Amino acid sequence: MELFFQQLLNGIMLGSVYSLVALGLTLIYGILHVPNFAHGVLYMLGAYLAYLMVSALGFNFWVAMLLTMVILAVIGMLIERLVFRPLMEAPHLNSFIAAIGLIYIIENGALILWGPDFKRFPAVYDQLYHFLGITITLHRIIIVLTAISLIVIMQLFIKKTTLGATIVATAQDRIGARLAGINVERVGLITFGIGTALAAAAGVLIGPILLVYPSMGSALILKAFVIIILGGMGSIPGAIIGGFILGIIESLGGGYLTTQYNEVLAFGVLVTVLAIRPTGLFGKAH
Amino acid sequence: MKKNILKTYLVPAIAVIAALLVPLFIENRYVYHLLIMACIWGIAATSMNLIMGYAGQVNLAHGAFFGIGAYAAGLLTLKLGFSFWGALPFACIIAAIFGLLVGLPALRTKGSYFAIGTLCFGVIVTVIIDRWDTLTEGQRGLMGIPSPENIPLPFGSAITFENNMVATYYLLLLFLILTVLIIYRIAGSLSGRTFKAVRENEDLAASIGISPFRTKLIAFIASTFFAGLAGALYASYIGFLSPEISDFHVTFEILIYTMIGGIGTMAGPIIGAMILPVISETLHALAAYRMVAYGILLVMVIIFFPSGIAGGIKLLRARWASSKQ
Amino acid sequence: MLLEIKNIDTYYGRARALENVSLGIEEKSLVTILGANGSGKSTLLNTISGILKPAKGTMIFEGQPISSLSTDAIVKLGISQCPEGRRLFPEMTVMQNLRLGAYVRRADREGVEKDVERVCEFFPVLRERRDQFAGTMSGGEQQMLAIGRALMCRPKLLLLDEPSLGLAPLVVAKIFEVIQEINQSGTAICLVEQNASMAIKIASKGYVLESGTIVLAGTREELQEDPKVKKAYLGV
Repeated sequence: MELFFQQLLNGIMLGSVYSLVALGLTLIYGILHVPNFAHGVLYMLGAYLAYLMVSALGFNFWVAMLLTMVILAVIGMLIERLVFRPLMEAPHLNSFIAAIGLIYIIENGALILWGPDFKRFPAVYDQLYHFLGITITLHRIIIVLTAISLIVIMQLFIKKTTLGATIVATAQDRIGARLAGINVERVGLITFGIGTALAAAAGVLIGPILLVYPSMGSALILKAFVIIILGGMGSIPGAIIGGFILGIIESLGGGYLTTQYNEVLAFGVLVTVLAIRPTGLFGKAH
Repeated sequence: MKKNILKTYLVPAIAVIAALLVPLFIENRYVYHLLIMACIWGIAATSMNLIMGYAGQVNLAHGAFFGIGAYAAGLLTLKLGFSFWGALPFACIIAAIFGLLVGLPALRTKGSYFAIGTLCFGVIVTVIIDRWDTLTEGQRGLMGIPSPENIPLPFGSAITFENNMVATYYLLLLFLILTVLIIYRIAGSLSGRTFKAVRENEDLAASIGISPFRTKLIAFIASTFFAGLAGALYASYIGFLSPEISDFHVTFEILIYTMIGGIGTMAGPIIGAMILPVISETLHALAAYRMVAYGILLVMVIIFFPSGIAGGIKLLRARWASSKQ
Repeated sequence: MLLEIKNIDTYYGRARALENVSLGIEEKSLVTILGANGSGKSTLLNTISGILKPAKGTMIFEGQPISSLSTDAIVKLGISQCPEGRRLFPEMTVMQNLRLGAYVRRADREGVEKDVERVCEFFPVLRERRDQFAGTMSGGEQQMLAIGRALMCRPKLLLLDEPSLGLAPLVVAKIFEVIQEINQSGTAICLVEQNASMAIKIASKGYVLESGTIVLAGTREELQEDPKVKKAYLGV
């Protein structure tokens, strides 16, 4: 039972990070209409920047996180403007392939700049708590709380503000949004900024728990894809709930089922689901 | 009409003759190595072009099928004592059987779902090859995969392939030409035209009685068959396999050759497979820089020349022709 | 002249969809554009709205050239379109759809609320369905919402693309009634219709498009008397 709760807690922690990444990915999906393959390397870049700020410049963790989010938002917007906007009218396949190009550029750029070795974030908030036989570090609690706060803030932003409404409207019908007088190019830019900042936040949060290395984004992006397919592409609640579910499945699966094939558990689930329901669990027929 | 036939066959004929004449001028083993690799990647890229360029389905497990073909050839020769010639057809068929098994469910999905579904299948394949080390030797890799056995000729002589770069080159060139002929036979036949119809508009294709599913499945199986062929040839030529040969970097590599060469054209994937490995070999010491350059190239091509080098040449020729009129 | 279009060509990829089209819409008038499927009617409206860009020619709205402006800038100037296929936000409520229609004047909160009321007066069913998702409504209700949304930015010129398409006769009658009311309240309307007889009845002026060019222009009376229009579009 203790193992169960320990793994469940780990799963929630992982899931909150997955949710952040998937939420950003699903927002950007509304603009691109293909999943942005490069989302994972931006998460990696976020983790690196924060690592450098904390370890080399001695920044406070939260200052580093905020700065990283701002920097990555700007990078996300640049990518939208320079790479994806020129492809807006082209077949979706082209955006998909351009994103693969971005992975090459950014992942190998990181390799050149910072080398292949794993970086360990200096420990922050490493106090241990014990209760009911479970051990947990303060940092893990902070991850969950910060991720959930960000998700709630995003939900409020999308539901309650006009800008948020324009993002949803553009995703639902781009031409309709243009005819309503919405500047969809500006919306695209902002959405990329926000989505990328969320990925960066996830990278910064998980950095001190996992290690920081150039290909850390590849493993994650595949899981994020799995989440948004299972949750229905473009669905915001689907991405959030899907993130938590995947985190918990992985954690419990790793504890009970298999450690050898743990990392592909999610992909196996996805392939099985797609074989049964070609449009995902919550996806509409199209 | 006659002029058209001449035009259609002239360039490929010159290319084939030039490729056949190469050994008259070149002795350098390294150049042969590059040419042989270009043939292998040319087969892989041509087969990707069939499913992606003609049927419009982004199969991100192409590297996995390449890997399946390679490991099938390696395991059949090393563990079951098959000869290379015996193992080769089986390797292709095994890859195609996996293609059938994956294609049946996967092709019911569309667009991004298909791309990601196949990507996930590819990752699973790599991980299984990596972890099932009692069969595949895992990270240690498969070593000592044999070269093709000698082909006996009359009067007691024989063609040997071991350590014979010229013979190996001719063999792979032959397989490349066969692949191109068969794949474009498929693409050019009636079913080829239906592939294009499927790519342009699936609903329309369905409404005029073309079954998109059947057509896509045939394209997918054929494409995996030749991906397996490329993998098996690779295994025998290099002689060593490790799990990375099946992973998505291989898929991306083939994708890049296809895209930059020119998707949906006959020459494109081969041009890509000829040029890019040469560039990457020359930049070998600068692996990470090379990858960055690849990425930039890919992004630029997709934005400015979405039909790649071959498409770009076509466009220039069309402009030249229309300016002459 | 509220909108004056001179000699525009518009391309769809390589195909020329409009060729040398010129037309004028006067303030507060109701102009109809007739033509068969594929004659370029929707292309014309989309060119005015800036969804498509004309390859040549000029479009002047209230003295200002608009052919190089983006769609949102054109909406801001006062040209609104209720497009083919309606283009609603299917997973948003009726009210959210209407409020986004007023996006360009979102600062004027009181005015927006007043206009929501006005639209609901035109189409009372929208008030009943205020919290329903647009995508779950019937075709007629969606069409009403689409017209309502297009009205929310207080356009000077309203472009309507086949508002009667696929709707029951009773609903069509209601919609045409409202179109006239909107016009009488001072909004110019450009009405694209296949239902030519109804459109001509309420229009002051009309144009006939055939494969991308204007083949006939005239007042209501002229069109109603034209033998070709009678035969091809009015079916008499």
